[in-house]
Amino acid sequence: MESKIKTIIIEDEEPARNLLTLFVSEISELELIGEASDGFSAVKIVNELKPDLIILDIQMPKLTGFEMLELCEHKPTVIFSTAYDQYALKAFEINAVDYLLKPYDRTRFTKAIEKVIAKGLQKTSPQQEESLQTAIKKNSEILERIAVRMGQKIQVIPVDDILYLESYDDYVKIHTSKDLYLKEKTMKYFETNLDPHQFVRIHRSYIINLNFIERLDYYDKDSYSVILKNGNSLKASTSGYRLLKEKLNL
Amino acid sequence: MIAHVAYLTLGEGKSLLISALESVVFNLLFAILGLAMWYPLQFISPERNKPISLITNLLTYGVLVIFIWIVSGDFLMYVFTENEQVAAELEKTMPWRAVIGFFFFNITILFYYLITYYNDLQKKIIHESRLRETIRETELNLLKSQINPHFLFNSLNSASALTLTKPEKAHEMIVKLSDFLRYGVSNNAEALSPLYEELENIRRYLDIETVRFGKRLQYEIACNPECQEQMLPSLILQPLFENAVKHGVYDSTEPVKITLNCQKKDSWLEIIIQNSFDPEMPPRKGSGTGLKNVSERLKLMYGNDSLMKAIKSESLFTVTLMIPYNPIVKS
Repeated sequence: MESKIKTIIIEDEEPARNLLTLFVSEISELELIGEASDGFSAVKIVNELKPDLIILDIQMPKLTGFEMLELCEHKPTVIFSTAYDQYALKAFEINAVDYLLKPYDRTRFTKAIEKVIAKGLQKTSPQQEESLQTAIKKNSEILERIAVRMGQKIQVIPVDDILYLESYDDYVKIHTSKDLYLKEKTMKYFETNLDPHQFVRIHRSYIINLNFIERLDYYDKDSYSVILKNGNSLKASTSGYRLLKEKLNL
Repeated sequence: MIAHVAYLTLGEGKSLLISALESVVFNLLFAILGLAMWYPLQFISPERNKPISLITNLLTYGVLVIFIWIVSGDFLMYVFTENEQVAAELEKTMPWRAVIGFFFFNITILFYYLITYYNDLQKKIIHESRLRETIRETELNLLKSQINPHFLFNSLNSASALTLTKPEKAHEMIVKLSDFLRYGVSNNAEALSPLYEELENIRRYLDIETVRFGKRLQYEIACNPECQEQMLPSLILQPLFENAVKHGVYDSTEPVKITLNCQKKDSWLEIIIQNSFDPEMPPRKGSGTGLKNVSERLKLMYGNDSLMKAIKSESLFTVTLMIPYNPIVKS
């Protein structure tokens, strides 16, 4: 082994963090380069220190483990460490090397590290990125919030605050009454993950929140525009209008 | 009716036509009166009257009904036949008809009481099965919340960490966890416990969580000594504190304070539980079962569905419980 595996522990509970620190220090191949105790600082430290391996809790303040990974530019190898067993499948879908269920012992932890060494340190491929999205989707059946990055800041937007979504090349513009956010996602992703009772895709370029509709205006033959409560007017396609009518029981 | 006609023709030597008419008039008349008795009898019932007034009421009512029956019957017979002799003959059988009327009256009353009794019984059975179902459901939910696996596994993980780093604290934590679990399994959904025992258990729970969350979790329990002995449904506070930890501490990096205050207010014990939370974070959409269960249990035990109130403000979540002082618990 020419160089050690640079490792970061991301865990919000102190005793659990201490235990991991102890376990990591006992394995000579590992070098502990940092710790984080919440989602925001985890994104920051991972992007800054570019570790080879992170040992990641799922339930944390600010961002969940999955949301945090989504926002990281640097993609390290991941071992999950959690008391929740329901995310195991999703963790493996994003190619996590191992999934440790708390509490676990030294032997189990060492086995996970051996897997990391055996596999070699792979970076996340674009394909894995795709599965990460599926994992986030399954993590919470219906999307309740969206984590976005604005420069150095991370913002968590409750979906209830969204007026509408607009496609924008490889991004989606998220319009809220206060602000505009960009998220590197597809319209398809939002269409399938947002609550279908609340969000309707009225056009190739628009998904709107039903709670913010003011009225529907006749546009021209077979086509309508949707007027939002903030005054915005969005064009609905024929199929989009049909879907909208169905959702509004018109 | 046929028997009646036969008796009148053969026994009293009346003509067949007159006998048939008399029978039809009196029997139909009683049928109508009998039907009309349904409503008055809802008020003259064993549930609503004391035995003596019940008997007096029934007798008065019976005399009235029989009087109306005979008078209107005689009148109708006279109208139909316009025959003085028929009327005179009817006069002779008056006492006999009064006895028959009394007999009919009794049968009708018994029949109605039987129907009412049967209906009440059915209602009672339905109500009781619903009650039992709710109790079972609450018990199940309670059981589930007691052995909340994430709480348990995370606590065991903390304990396992402490065994290596601070064995003395690990020992303390395991004992606390055991006491907490034992308190949980020794109480069921219908049981009552004194407030001080409940608070002791809440302190255990919060102490265990404090080991996990450190400075992020702070709590303060203030209880007026006069409330200590007051009984309340076992483990009713537990889900509220679990909620406070889940919605307050889980998502916050800053210290979150959970407080409990209780005091006697008139004939109520008022318990106020508050937790701060990070207003920056979008709220977790919990399933809401925790709060719902508490409210259901209170409703079940005290037959009042406004004993729990939950209010969310800018950065504070408040739950207020009202427990009847020295309550009479519905069995």
